[in-house]
Parts: sequence; C-alpha cells; structure tokens
Amino acid sequence: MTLVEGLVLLLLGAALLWVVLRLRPGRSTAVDFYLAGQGIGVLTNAWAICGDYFSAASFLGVAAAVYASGLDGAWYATGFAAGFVPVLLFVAAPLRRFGEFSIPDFLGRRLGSERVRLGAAAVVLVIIQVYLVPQAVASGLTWEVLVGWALPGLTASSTGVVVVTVCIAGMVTVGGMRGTTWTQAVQFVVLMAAALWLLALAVGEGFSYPAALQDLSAEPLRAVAGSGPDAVTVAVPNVADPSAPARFNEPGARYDALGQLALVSTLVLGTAGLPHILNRFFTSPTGRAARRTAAWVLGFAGVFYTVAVALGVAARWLVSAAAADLPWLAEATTDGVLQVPEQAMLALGRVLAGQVGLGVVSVAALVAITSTIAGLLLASAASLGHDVYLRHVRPDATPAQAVRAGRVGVLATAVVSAGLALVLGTDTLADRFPSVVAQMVTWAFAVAGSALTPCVVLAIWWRGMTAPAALAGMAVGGSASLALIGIGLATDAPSSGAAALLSTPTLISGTLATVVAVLVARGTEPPQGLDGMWVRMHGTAADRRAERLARLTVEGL
Amino acid sequence: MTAAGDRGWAAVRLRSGLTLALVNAGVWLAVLVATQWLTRPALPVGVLVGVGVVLTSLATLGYASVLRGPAATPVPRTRRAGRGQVVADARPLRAGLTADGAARAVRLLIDTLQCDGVALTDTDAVLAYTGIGARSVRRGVAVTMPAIERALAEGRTVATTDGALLTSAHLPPTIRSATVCPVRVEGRVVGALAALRIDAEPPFPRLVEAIAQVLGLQLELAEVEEERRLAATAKLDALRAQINPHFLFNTLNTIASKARTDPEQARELLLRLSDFFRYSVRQQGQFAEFGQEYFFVRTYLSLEQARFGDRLEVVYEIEPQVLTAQVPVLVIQPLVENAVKHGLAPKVEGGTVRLEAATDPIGRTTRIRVSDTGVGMDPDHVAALFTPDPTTDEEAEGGGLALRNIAARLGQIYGERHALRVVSEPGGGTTVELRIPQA
Repeated sequence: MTLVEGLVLLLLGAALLWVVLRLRPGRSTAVDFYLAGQGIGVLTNAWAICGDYFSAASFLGVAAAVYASGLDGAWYATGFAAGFVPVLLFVAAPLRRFGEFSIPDFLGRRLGSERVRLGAAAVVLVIIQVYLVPQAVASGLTWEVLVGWALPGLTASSTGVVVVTVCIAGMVTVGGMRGTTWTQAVQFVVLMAAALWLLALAVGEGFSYPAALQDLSAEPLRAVAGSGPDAVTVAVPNVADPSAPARFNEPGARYDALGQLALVSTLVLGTAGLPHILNRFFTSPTGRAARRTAAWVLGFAGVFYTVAVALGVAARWLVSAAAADLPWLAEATTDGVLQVPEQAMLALGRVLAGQVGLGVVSVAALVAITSTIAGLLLASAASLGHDVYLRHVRPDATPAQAVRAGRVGVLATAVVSAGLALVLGTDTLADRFPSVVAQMVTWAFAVAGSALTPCVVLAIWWRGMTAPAALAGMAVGGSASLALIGIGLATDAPSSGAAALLSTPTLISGTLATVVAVLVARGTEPPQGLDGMWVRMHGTAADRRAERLARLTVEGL
Repeated sequence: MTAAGDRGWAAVRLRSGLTLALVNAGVWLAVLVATQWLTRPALPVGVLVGVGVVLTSLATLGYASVLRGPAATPVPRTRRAGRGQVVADARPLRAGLTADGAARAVRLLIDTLQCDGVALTDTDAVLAYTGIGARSVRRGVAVTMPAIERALAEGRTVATTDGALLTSAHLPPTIRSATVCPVRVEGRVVGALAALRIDAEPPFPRLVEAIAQVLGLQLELAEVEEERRLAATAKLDALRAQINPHFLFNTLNTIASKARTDPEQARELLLRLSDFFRYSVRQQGQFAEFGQEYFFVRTYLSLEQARFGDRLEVVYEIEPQVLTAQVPVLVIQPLVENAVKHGLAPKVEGGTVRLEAATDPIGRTTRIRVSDTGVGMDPDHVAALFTPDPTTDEEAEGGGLALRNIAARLGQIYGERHALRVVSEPGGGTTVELRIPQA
C-alpha cells in the first residue's frame, strides 16, 4: 500500500466515523417512530438484528463455500436467509407479547419452573460457545492475511484469535460497546456497503453472473489436495451422481439430496433458537412490531446472501484468471485454485482493488466478527449474570454486583472460546471441510435447532407443554446433536448419504427432542394459569393498547 | 402549531437539508475516489455513475428514517397558557363526589368554560355552585332547574336558551342560556355539570361534555383508589394523589386559554386528556412498561412547556431496548417534576431538562437519568435529601419528600438491588440517576 493510498483510506475511515457520530439520530425521534410501530423505527431495529446475525460465517463463509463447491455452497446462503421464516411465522410476535427478556426467562416463566430456566441458560451458554469458536477462527484467518504478524511462539492465525478476542472482550467488559441499536445498525450498513462495493468492482471488471457460471461449469470442479509446495488439484468427486464429474453449477460437489435437506433444515430451524437474535425481538414495543421487524430482516438477509453468493462466484471466476499475473496470488493458489477457500473474499478484494480492496474486505469481516462476538458475549453475560447469578446465587445482589457478575461471565466465555479455537485450530479442520467457518457455524445452528427451537415452539403453541418435558427435550436435543457431530468428527464421515446427518443433525436430533418432549408432556401436568398465559401470548388487545398509547405519545397531548 | 413552533421546525428542516446535501456530496466524492483513483485501471464511468446514484438514493431514502433530526430534537411547544397557577394541594373530587371537592372544581371550571355560572350536582342536590347569584345558592339545596333535571333523567347533554327550562328557585332570571352534561362513572350517571351564561349563546356543548367526561374519570379514579387502599399500597397512593390534581388542573388551564380562540383544538386536547386519564386509571399494580411512563412524562413536560414557554427545553435520549422494560409506576415523573419545579423554575433564564434511559446488557439493569441545568443544591442539602427531617417543613416541600417517597418505594420493591444517586452543585444543575434490575 503506497503512502497516498493509505492516507486516502485513513481519510475515508475518518469521514465515515464522523458521519456515524455526527448523524447519530435524534434518539427520541427514532424511539418515537419505533414506539409507534412505524416502518422507520422498525427498520432501524431490523438493521441491528442483521448486524448481530451477519457474522464472519456469512461474510467470509458463504462466499468461501460457494467458491469451493459452487451450487452446494449456496445452500448455506439459502439456509441462513430462510431461517427467519420460522421466526417470522411462529416465534417473534408471541415471544414478544409474553414479555420477558431472554429465552431462559421465557421458558422459565411459561412453564413455571426454575429448573427449566437453569437448564435453558445452560443450553444457551453451550450454543453461544459453539457459535463463538468459528468467529474466533475467522478472526484468526483474517488477521493472517491482513497483518501476518505473529506473537512469539504462536502462528499468525493464533495471534489473530488472541488479539481479536482480547480486544472485543475488553471493549464489552469495560463498556465501550454496549450493543446499542444504533451501533449494531451501523455495523450492518458498513458490511452491506462493502459487499455491494465489491460486487460493483467485479461488475466493472466484466463480471457477469450467468456468463461466469457458464465459464466455470464448462470443466469439472477441482479442489486443492495436500498442502505446501507439493499441493495438487484433483477433481471433486460427485456425491449425487458418481457416474458424472461434479460441476460448479450442479449439485453434487458436496451434498446429495439427503445432505442438502439436512443442511438447509438445520440452518432454518437453528435461527429460531439463537439466543442473541431472539433477545432483540424481546425489545420490540409490540408483538406486531416484532413480526414486522422479522419481515424486514428476512428481506435484508435475502439481499445480503444473494450478494454473498454472487461474490463467491466472482471470486472463483476472477482469481483463477488473475493467478498467473499476480505473484502473491500465485503463491496462495494451486493451478488457479485457492488453497484456503476462506480467503476467497479477501483475495477477491485484493485482485479488484489492490491493498485497499483487501483492507476494505478485512475491515468489513472484522466488523461482522466484532458485532457478532459482542452480541454473543452480551447474551452470555445476561445468562450467567441474570439467570444463574441473580436468580440462584445472590438474589439480593446490588446493581454493581450484577454488573461484576456479568463482566466475569463475559471474560470466562471469551477465554473458553478463544481456548477452544486455538486447540481446534483452522489447520486441523480445514483439510476436512472445504469451508471450515461456515461448517462450524452450522454446528451452533444444529445445537440451537435441536435443543431450543422445539421447546420454544412447543411452549408457544402447545398447551400441553410441561416443565419436565422441556428439560427432557433440551437434554435429549442438545446431547443428541453434540454426540452426532462428535461421531461425525471422530469417524471422518463424508458429507454424503446418511452420514451427512452426522454433521448437520437437526433432522434426527430435533425430531428426537420433539418426540421426547411430547411423550414426557403427556405424562405430566401443565402449569397453572394456562389461560392467562395464552391470552397474554396470543391475544392482541395489549398490542392495540400499546399502539394507541404510542400514538398518543408521538402526537402529544 | 404556533408560528414560533413552525419557525423552529423550519430551522430544523434547513439544518437537516444541509446535512443531507453534505452527505450526498461526500458519497459522490467517496465513489469517485474508490472507483477512479484507488482501482487500477480506473473503472468505467458507467460504474461510477451507477454506484453513485444507488448510494445517494439510499442515503436520501434512508435519511428520512435513520438520520433525520438533530441529536436534541426540541419538542414542538403549544402556546403559552395565559394563567399558570399550580393548585398544589387541591384534590377536588378525589374523595368521590363530595361537596367540598365539588366547590373547588367549579371555581376552576368557571374560567375554563368561559361562562358566568357553573354548577356541579349529584343526582338530586346541588353540590357546588359558583358565579352569578352564588350567594343565594347554598350547598345541598335540591336541584330545581328543569334543564339539569332533564339531563340527569335522560343521561344526555342539554344545551338550551329556552326560558322555561332555565327557571330556578335560586338563580337570578338573567341567565339566558345553559349547557348541562351528565357526569358518568362506568356508564352510570352520578351527577351533572351545568354551565350557565347571561347571553343567549349556550356554552360550547362538546367542551362541557369533555370536561364532564374528565370529571367522571377523576371520580372513577377515586373509586379505584378506594379499592386499592384496601389492597394497601399506601406509598403508591400518596404518589398518585400527589400527581394527578396538578396535572389535571394545569391542563385545564392550558385548555381554558384555547377555549375561546380555538374551541375545536380545545376539545381535541380534552379528548386526549381523557384518554390519558383512562390509562392512569386502568394502570394496575406496581409496575408499568417504560413506554407508558415515558408517555406520562412527555405529557407532563409538554404541559409544563406550555406554561414555561421558552424557558424550558426538553431533551429525550431513549434507547429502544428500554421501552419494554418494567419500571415501578410513577417514579420517573416525580423526578422530572422535581427538576422542573426546584431546578429550573427558580432560574430566570430557564434551562434544559434531559431524560435519558438505556439498558446495561451486562448487568441487565435499566438506567434512567434525569438531569437539569437549573440552580442545583448545596452539598448539605443533597446529603439531607434522604434523611427525613420533620422540623423543617419547607424542605419537606422542596423535593425531599418526593425523593424520599421514591427511595422508600424502591427499597420495598427491590431491596438492595437498585441504586438511586443524586449529584448536584450550586449553579451546576442536578442529576438523579436510577438503576433498577430488568425483570
């Protein structure tokens, strides 16, 4: 990067920061719109949810999966985006109307049991942990490409994991990042802008989606095997139809029919159980506003993942063509194919706009990672500090003690996730999975979709749901999904056939959890006061009252 | 909206228009830099134009939503009320429809209704009368005016200039017109409000109706309170009783100044007021969503703004997450009221009241901060705020009472789990910060 380029980038960054800070919206105005359930206020919250949701897996992982496997990688985008359909249809509005602040709160109050609250808090912590590890891995990858500097005794990517985790945990703990709606919304806008900018640059280079797809599919799909100087490219086997070679625009590079179904169902069902996403729906002023927010998020997610898929295709198309001319790219590729598919987006940025492009992609990836990690850490602080500490350890704690408990929770969660990321490492897993970040995020979705989603949906829609049933469902769903993933890892199972269910197990473990919960519920008594809860959760009178009050607030007396 | 308010908004619009222009210029510059200078070879001009148009359109469309408005939006003011006396301890009607409360109410209403005589009756006797010929009307005399009897019997408004309906054993014959409205509590007629005039134009019926409606709600509130007294939440009752009369009569004063110039708007205001009272009547229990309390505070402040005019500026900084948090009822409004009454009212040039609310996700607490740029307090006074001191009555009146009440209630509800902090220095304003656990 030349001095001039660096200065310009710095200047642009400063200008962006200035705009963000200077134009911080009149918060009373924004809140009034929001209170009144008007589109504008709902939009801001939807952006904030997108900021929480679009993680490194979305920004780097989806493009990497498409880069490596073509059409079969695009299933990730489909699943991530479609995950908000169940949220919209079944969860958002009733959850908000019930009026608690987190999933353990909701389940505990709905089923009238402190044990359910504790159990749900434990499951939430597991999900957060499984979700945090891939974020840490992705931050390591980005660091490796962008900075490359390593602490003594560590590899560059491990250094990245440590540095990023320490920074974010520090920010969250000290209070610099409070996860305010506006901050999260800005993070989404930055991410979206970076993705669109890259796409525009690619189009400027002559990228055309249909034409590129045709070009790339002309020859069988190849992947890098081995590592270092003796790496070679081999044809990717076609798992859907072994008689034909796998192609970029056809299914089969990774999944057969069952594998596709397993992956998409895992992702779709998992979203409705992600604690840091659902926590935001609890803040909508009415059930209707929560549902509208979910609808907006669905729209934004659709646009974002479409762009991400297009960028993955653009990377495959441009990188192989440019590998011959650029020495740094030749180093990272074998026969024009990147050795680490995760670097697809970063390489694309560097091919299109030099160091500046690399900088923009890295910054966007780090923004995505930061916002997601911060959201997750805050959710874990809430679970540990509130559901465990305040409810069961010290019910009479002062606010200062509660904050201290939350901070300890944040630090503990961050240390554990960074430790796991270092132990697992990218290198050990990258050989196994073509796009390791997206794959690891899938596990978090699997645990959430197996342990929490069935219980939450049953608690919302089935009057017969009971506390023992929820405990049994969460235990069976959580342990079954974790066990299946573990078996998949240990036995080195391929991602085709019935074995695909091992890495994306929601079809099995989620069904199992539902069946167990229903069976146990049959034998136990539902909690008292069911009718009142039903009216609160599914009635709209309170919504209308809140909307009327909001109108009065906004219009003034 | 008044002309002054229009000018205020015009300035806001101009400012935000300029900001938008700056943003758009910045976007084009950024696109130019990004597509022409930073990329080699430079991208075609078509890409530059396309990206620029998309981004500026997004900025312009999005501007209406996210970026609109300055950081501190002044709330548009209603016109300054002509008279602004605070009826500090007035509790007419709060103890039910008694003669004593009724006497206070009619004295206030005669100005509001712009008429020459106001009578408040229960179903058969006059509770209070003020205005022309008041000496000959004693409390408790039977209702003899046919217009009132008809309104009570038929349960509907009677507006008349018919002499036959206006003859009364006690009132002088100079009364030429009257509007009589029944006062209802939960649908049943418990009395009537009669507005009398010596000219042939009866008082504006819808205005009288609206006031009768408010009186009815006030009575309903009294009944609710009676029930609640049995449920024993004495401190909360004290707070409720403290606030509502101020609020009601200040609002009525504001409305009174509108009644002649703009009866339609006065009626509109009254309807909103009754909406408002309906909410506070129906509010059960110790907790409310912050959104409701926010509305209550805003309504209160907009009325104070009508009284104080330019001397009182209000800034709200509310995070959306707070709106659904449960907060104890009637805790924020007294804090704001203290800021206005004891912080800003003694200061000639006025100042700003700021209400901030945010959640702290780490400790899962809700933080509410009320600050003013008023006269402040000296350290001794601050230190004495929470220690009751029966010997100095004056201080008990001055903010300490409300604050002690709040502290006591918060202690009952949360025990050690809350924090209430007051920071103040003479001339430097006062800040009250409250932290309560979420859920």
